[in-house]
Amino acid sequence: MNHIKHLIIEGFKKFVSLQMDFNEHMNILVGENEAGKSTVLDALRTVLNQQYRNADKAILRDLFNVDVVKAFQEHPGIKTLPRIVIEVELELDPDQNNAEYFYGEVYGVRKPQPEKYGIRFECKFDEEIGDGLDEIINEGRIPYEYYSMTWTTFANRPYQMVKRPINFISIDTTNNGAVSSFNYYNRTLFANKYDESTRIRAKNTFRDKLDQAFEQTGLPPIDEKRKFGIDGKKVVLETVLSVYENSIPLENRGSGMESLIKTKIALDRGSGVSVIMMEEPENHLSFTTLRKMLQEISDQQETSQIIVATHSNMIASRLNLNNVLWITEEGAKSLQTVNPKVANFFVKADDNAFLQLLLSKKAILVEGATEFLLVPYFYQRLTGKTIEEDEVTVISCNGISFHHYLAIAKATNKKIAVITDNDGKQERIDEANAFNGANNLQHVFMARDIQDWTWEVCIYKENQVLLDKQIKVKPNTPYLFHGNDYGPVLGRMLNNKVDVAYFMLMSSQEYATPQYVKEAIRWISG
Amino acid sequence: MDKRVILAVAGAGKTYHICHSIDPQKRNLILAFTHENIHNIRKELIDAHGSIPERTTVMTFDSFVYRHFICPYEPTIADFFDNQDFRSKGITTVDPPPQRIENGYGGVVANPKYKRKDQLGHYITKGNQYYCATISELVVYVKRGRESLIKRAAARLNLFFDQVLIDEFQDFREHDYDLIDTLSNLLSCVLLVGDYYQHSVSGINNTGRPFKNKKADVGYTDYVAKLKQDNYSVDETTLNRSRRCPEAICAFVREKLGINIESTGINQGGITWLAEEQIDAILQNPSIQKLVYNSAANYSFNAMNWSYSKGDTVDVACVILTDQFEGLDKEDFSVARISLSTINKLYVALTRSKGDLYLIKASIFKKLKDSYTK
Repeated sequence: MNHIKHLIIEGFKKFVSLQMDFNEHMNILVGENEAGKSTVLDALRTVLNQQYRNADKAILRDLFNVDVVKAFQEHPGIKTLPRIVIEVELELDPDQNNAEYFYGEVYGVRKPQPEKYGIRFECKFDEEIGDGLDEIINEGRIPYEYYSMTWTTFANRPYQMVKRPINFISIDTTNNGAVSSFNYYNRTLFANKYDESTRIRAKNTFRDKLDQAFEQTGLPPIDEKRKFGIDGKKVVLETVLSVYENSIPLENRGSGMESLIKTKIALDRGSGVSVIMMEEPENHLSFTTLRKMLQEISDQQETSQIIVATHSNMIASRLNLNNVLWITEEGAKSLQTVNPKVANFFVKADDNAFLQLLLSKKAILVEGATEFLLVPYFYQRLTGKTIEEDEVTVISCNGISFHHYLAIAKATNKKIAVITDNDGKQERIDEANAFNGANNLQHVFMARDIQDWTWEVCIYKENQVLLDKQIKVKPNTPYLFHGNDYGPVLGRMLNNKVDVAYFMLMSSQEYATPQYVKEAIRWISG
Repeated sequence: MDKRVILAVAGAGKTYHICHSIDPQKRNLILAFTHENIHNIRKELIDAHGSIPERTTVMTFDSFVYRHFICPYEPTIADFFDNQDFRSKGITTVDPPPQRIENGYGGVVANPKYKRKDQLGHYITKGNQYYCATISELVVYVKRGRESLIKRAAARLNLFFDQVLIDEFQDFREHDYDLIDTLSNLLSCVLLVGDYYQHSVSGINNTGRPFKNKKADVGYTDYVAKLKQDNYSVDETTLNRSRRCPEAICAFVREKLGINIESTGINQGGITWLAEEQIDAILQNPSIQKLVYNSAANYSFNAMNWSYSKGDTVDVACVILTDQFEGLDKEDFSVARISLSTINKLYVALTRSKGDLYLIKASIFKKLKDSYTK
């Protein structure tokens, strides 16, 4: 299937240099804010849609990578002037019209090399027209006006959008309500849906009828020589088109509905679109609409290539985290290596924190809400710093086995501490020890004694005197937990885990930290 | 591998055959020598298929070489000449400096601006534009051992085209011919269509391979033998009858010029030798195309040079002969002392009419020439 295979960026926006592969069907770009997700999408648009082609050169200020500009200013000269190269390698069917136009060896570093399909964008100082600007350049000023932008195919032929090798549509929900984005969408859809002769016929008929309609208004002339007429340039069919559904234009629907419908149309096989790009589809969508849209997307993934940038856990895991491309300043990393069984597990488990894990520098995985509340408290007590300061993320597994999370963590080389219960089972303790022996970056921490079978037990043991005083119990009440008698205070703690944890956090008392929790915190902060 | 040549006679409908025989579902690449040919092919394709089939491409041979051999492989070309920084800026029809120039005293000397073929400068201008005249030579030249540019480009063409068709292939000379020759062995399907007897008619490339062997002309029989030796299957029958020319004209050409051309008999017409007093009425008649050896523009009547008329069809033609053909009406006329190129040009002129053909002897025309000169 025709699709985007590989992207190379040099000196564009967030990246000094980036190389990334795309999956044939589903691609989920995740990353911190400002990590470069939008840069990747923008790079694709710049190459395929010739974005910025007619823009004022002043835009280059925003397009150059700041580090590249800084390097130039430190050592100004023609050789160090910022430049942008973006190459998009494509997979095309040689049977398709025009495929030949994109196939050659003119890409990357020029040398005899195997032919590939692709388009290359280059924005650089044009030494010919900029002859004699050495002085300005040597002062560290960038002569934006003397930059040229070129789009060429790997066969070294000029690229024009009319020869677009793949039908490509970009659904932008971040820039909601912007008329221009809508026009762009309408225009692309119009171009993809109908072949050229159909479009031209429609445009001609439209213009003819428009002239006729104006004639029929019978408007008297201005004077003997002058009269009003329709300026064809001002009424171009594409600019006045809207998509109507049940006679309501799409623009007038709510913005959530609007993205949903836009996506639906784009995904429809008949629309002729083969690559769909979506930026943060979660914006403006309610939970149920989002789920509906994700269903549409995943139903269509075999027939198109989808590239989604998102912050949403649900999107990333629903669309299968094997398809995640994790963007950082250093580059893009694919989660293809994560065991498909694990990936499938996260598809099912909507309520998960996999993105938090992926986007964290270091993480502590805990069992549930109780630990989630108290671990940051213990962390600060032990290290004197907050978890935020140390960029440690605490993630509550909420019933998901931490092994699933560790499978992802392994694929990304992250430092993870797991704080968990031994459940009174020696084999769990043995298993954890074996795991820690085999893994450097991920360790599992639990109480070493099977008597200390759960979190509350350990907390109570360390802080018995204080807690006996603080936690009120009614006399002659058994406070059984799962039918067992652990004494009234511990019994109450076990039966009201989260309330007690919250109470402890809010009381200004100092609590002692259980040994294994201490070890976990020392290990992760070390 | 499918490597075929169809040898055609004038007016047999080469273009018609090419355009009607292609499978419009297939990816066809049709090449021809001139823009005029291209125009005719496009017209014929539209007649045959309603429009130019979506997957069929028509282009001149020069565009073909530039787009499929030069552009996609510029890094290989640059590397071959050890000039990795080379970036071309398009192509020019300006000719490269000739190898020898006149020294101004009637002598001929080596041109200091000339670059040898082992230098990139032989193929590009100072402004980094390719010389159109040497692109085929460049393509043929770039090879290292068994790895050649042609081989790579041929594999690329096989990936994107099911069939390559070359019209008027007798017009290709020297490096163009060498390129076709080598390429044909590498393409999965190639069809060449041409008329041996129309070679050396176009104004350029009038000498050399494959129609000269050392200095001697290569005759029809030798030419066919050479093609067969090069593993072409040679078809001499499909297009051996002229749809355009009446039998009277074909018989005349057979007898006088020794060129084997038959008529389908679709059109009728005869040959008339004009006497002095008949000439004016013919020359003044704008519906009769006059064909002169050269300098057509100098005459006040509608005239065209013999060689330019190649590919055209007219209702009625009038050919004004040259001195060499003064005895064309005699029983004992012989072409033995006349150059092949001139004979072929006359062949072209005689075979334009789909009806009557008038002939004027040079001796008679000369008497009146001045009154028709601008």
